[in-house]
Amino acid sequence: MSFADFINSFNLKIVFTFLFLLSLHLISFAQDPYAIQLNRENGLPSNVIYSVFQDSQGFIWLTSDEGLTRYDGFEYKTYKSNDQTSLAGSVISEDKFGRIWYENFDGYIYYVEANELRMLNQNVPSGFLHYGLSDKYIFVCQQNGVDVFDLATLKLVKTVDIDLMYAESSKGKDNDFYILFNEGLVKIDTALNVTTTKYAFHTEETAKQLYGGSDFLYVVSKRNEKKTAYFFDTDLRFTHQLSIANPDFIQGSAFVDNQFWIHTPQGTFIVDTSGVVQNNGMACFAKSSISCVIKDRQNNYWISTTNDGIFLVPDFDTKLYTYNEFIPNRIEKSNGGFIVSSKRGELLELNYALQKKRIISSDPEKSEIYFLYCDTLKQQLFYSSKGFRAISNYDSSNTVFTDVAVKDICLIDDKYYAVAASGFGGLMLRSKDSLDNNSLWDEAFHKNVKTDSSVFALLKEKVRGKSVVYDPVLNLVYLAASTGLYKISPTIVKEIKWNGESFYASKLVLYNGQLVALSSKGNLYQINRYEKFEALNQKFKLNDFEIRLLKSYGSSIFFLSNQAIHRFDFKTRNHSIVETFVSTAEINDYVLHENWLLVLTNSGILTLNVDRNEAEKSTGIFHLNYMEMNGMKLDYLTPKEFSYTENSLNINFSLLDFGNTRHASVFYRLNPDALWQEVSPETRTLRFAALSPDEYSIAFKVNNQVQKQTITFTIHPPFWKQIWFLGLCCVLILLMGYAYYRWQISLLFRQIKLLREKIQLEKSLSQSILTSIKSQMNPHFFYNALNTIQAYIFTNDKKNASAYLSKFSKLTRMILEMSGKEKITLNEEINALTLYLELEQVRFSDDFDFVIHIDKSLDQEMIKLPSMLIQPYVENAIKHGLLHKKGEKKVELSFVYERGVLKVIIDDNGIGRKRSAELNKIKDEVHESFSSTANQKRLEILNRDSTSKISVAYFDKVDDYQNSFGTTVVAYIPIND
Amino acid sequence: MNLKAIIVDDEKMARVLLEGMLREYCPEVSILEACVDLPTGVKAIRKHKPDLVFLDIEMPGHSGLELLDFFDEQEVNFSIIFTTAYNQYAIQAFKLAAVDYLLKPIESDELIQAVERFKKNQQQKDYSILRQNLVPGNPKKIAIPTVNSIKFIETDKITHLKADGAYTHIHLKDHTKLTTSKSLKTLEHMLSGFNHFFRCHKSFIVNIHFVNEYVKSDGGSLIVNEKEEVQLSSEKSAELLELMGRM
Repeated sequence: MSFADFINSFNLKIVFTFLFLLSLHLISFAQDPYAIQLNRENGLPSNVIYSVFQDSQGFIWLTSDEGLTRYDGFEYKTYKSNDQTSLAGSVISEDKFGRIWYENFDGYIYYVEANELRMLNQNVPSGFLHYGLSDKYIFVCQQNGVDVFDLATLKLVKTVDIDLMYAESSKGKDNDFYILFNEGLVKIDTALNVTTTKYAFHTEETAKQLYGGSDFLYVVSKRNEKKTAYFFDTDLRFTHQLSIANPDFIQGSAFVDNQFWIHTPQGTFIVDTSGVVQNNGMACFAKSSISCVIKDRQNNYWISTTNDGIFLVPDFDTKLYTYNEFIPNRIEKSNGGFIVSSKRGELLELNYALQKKRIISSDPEKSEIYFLYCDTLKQQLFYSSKGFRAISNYDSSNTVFTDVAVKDICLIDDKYYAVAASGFGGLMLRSKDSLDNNSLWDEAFHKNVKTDSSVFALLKEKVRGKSVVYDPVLNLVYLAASTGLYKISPTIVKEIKWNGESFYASKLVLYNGQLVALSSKGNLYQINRYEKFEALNQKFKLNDFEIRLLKSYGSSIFFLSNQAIHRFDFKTRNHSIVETFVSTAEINDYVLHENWLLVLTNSGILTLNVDRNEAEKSTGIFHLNYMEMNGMKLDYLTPKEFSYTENSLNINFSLLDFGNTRHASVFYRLNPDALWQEVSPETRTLRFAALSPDEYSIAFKVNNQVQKQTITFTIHPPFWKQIWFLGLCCVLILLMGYAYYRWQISLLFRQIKLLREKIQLEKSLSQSILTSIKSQMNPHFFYNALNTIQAYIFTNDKKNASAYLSKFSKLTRMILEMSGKEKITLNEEINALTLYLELEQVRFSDDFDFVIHIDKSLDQEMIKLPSMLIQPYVENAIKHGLLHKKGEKKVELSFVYERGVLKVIIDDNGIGRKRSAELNKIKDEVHESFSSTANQKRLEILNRDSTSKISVAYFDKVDDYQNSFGTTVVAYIPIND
Repeated sequence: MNLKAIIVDDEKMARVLLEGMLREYCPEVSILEACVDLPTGVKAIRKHKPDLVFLDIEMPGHSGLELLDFFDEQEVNFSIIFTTAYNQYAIQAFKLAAVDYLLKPIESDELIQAVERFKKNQQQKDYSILRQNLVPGNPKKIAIPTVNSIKFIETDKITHLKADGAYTHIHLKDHTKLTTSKSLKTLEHMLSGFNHFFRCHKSFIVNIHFVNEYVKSDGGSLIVNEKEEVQLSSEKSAELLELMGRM
């Protein structure tokens, strides 16, 4: 039973009388179902909405002037395409492939596939006749009939030849397609059979519309000329008709909740199947032009309008009562209704139907009334705004206490109230007519009565009182004050401490001796008779500091959390939650009346059924939309493999949770062993900037419900962190190590080789030096000389023997001396050469002669040259040039200075080098020119370390007939001055 | 007995000296002619058919070693005693071919001994080995007199030589051996021109090209040509190792 129903049955007559009498005098009020408004201000693309639809996944689709839009409770996404002839349209539906279709008012059909809007390749449409969908086909009205397209291929399959010139309306329903004519109906079923039925509508009914019910069709004329709806079964048989009295313009209709919703420019009428108009015959949302109504899977009603956007109604029974500018902030039950105060100092009396009875008072200064108390027995009203006022019989005559600011009042007995006020906690006389009664508190009152007033008694002074409760069993008053919590008996005031410390409460309630205190910080405690504190927040699974507005009704306490109104019953120990649909932060006050909570918000009074089954609202649908890796959208269904550079992941999801004010929390975790992390409610995209290489299996949780959808993928470590690469590195390092080792070895070998070569060189140098000595002392010459001497001796030629021997010994001595020196003077060289030549002269006796020319400019003592450099060339000249020659033999030696070079010319008149070589070839080859090779070597060694090289040139002397007549050898010896 | 001789030498004083010495110390040798060069010498030999030719090697035009080129094998019915002042190469060839030679200045005793050797051993000299050994590049051969022949053995095929009293066993690469009446000392002298023949023991000469192994035990020995054992005297081991290292 709705609140309105309750009122109707309970106090119908009075209410209606009041309504009738007072409505003229009072500011108007409205009582539409409480609705969350979706409009341009909060993101809706347009306030002109033509249709609403919920798809199989739970998304809400709507058409507006902006075209087709998807809404997931968080954001709107509008699908547009360049192919659209116009954007505005209607008739949203979903095919079995999950494509969303709509038709613009030009009659062109579009569908959303792969997240983009596409156009159906259709013929020129026949005006705005609705298309229809079946599992196989799309039925599209064109000028020559109904085109049937294959749903899968979107190819035209067939054109059903029907003259649509006079078609008034068409409708797809349950795989079949229906067309309404003035004369009857045509049905094309999914097997493409065409059925026709004749039915004679009234001729005045010119603009008839065909609508679908649960298993029937109905026809309503736009102008509602005959105030009648016609009903047909799906086989096109007329079943009955229903009188529809009210509207004279019907712009749409729907069959929702087993009721007909008749949309008009002034709201929608809800008519039951027997024709009774609900809501006392009044239209809902009468200020708005209604276009469409649907009920979603969370039992929310989506009411689209063409002027105010969308009304999202979570519960049709939850009504919002608005009183124009009146902002209700405090409410108290009164006799026969409620007293409501406002933020602007007004006091209003309402009947039980929350209709305004009268204005009790208004404050010209518009000071907010922050405390209100109603004593229904004495019909007295107390309130605090600027000062404290008492009003008897709810009339405007009142008593004002300007110096008292009462924060709380609690009845003690017939005679007194307990009060908590700014400055004290104490007693207040109940009324003048109860002065004669006796009370247990008389003595305390008289002893502590306030000096300037006979109404108040100060039991606890100099505190700012916040709240009072009275325990009739123990005759105790509990006072919550700024300095602590006090237990006040008529004789004594005692502080109740919590763990030895003062406890600061803002509100106290009492049930059966159990004190429940709301701390000034927003935590709830239960304090038993033994003054033991029990914290209750955790018991109710609430966070610290979030509780406010504590009230008690009978055995129940009510309080607000950030999410909802909570009720705890001390008898049944039952904790329940009342959905408020609005944010609890907007709630100013509330009161329990029967099973209804009247909740005061800035926009009006909401009526909430406390017994409403919470389970009706299921938690929203969680839906993963896409994953995006490095900006690339990917399907999340199959496990993925990524490289280490692919590590920037975005996951977009939707939480299709409409009409809930207690927003569901979404959690995720990267791996089953990771902790759940809450996703900020402000976002629907999870962003991970740099995921480290790992295996991931991202799971989601909505509140406590773990979702089945997970995203599984692997990010591979970069190749340089993978085992094969590390292995390769190891191998490479080893190889390099080995190569380095080999290189070092080869270096060592090379060094050794160099060393060897050096040694070899040194050896050959010493050898060449030896050779040079030998060359100077050609053993052959030496022994032959000795042989010559022996011959002189043997022949007793003493004179010759002596001369020869002295020359020989002189030469040998010179040679021995020279061998120790690297260089000798030119003079020494010439002397040695002279001796040598003289000895040779003796051997060859008669026909051998020699001449030595010396350039006079040569300083023989100063010029130095390698020892015995010339002798081998002279010896060559003799041995190879002259020895073979018959007749006169002659050697000419010249020493010439020429530009820093000593030129030594050895000139013979021998047989020439060519002939000599021929002769030598006859001899065995080993018997080579001894001194030339040795000399060549020696020259090489001498030239190696020197910049100025010694060179030797040979010239063959030939006559005009190419006959050789000797050789000239020139040695060029650079001289360092 | 009277021996006919011819001297070939380009130096006048050398001819004078040799003639004088022969007259003085070997009166049985009569000098038929002293020639100034080889062609004259060849003519004189053909003319006088001497028993002995004193031949100088170092001569202008033609070396004394070319003399044999002027004669056929059968024609050579004279013995040659080479004279040279200094020719290490030729001397090595003489040693291998067991040919007599005299070094200048000529020692009278050597001259006498050479003539005596000729007189004692007048049979025909074989100069073919000399001729062969004088050809450069030819494997060098050594003339080994055996019981009834002279064997010419390539020195490269000799693995080692072993003294056996006055005899010497010459071991060859194919594991055969040859026994000669020449003493090891004589053979050492003949092979002295080769670096790779090494007197490693008083009873052994080894061709170090064939040494496979140096066995330290038993005072040191060598394994030669795969299996033959050659003794090594301890004082020679260091020298051998050094020699082998150099090779």
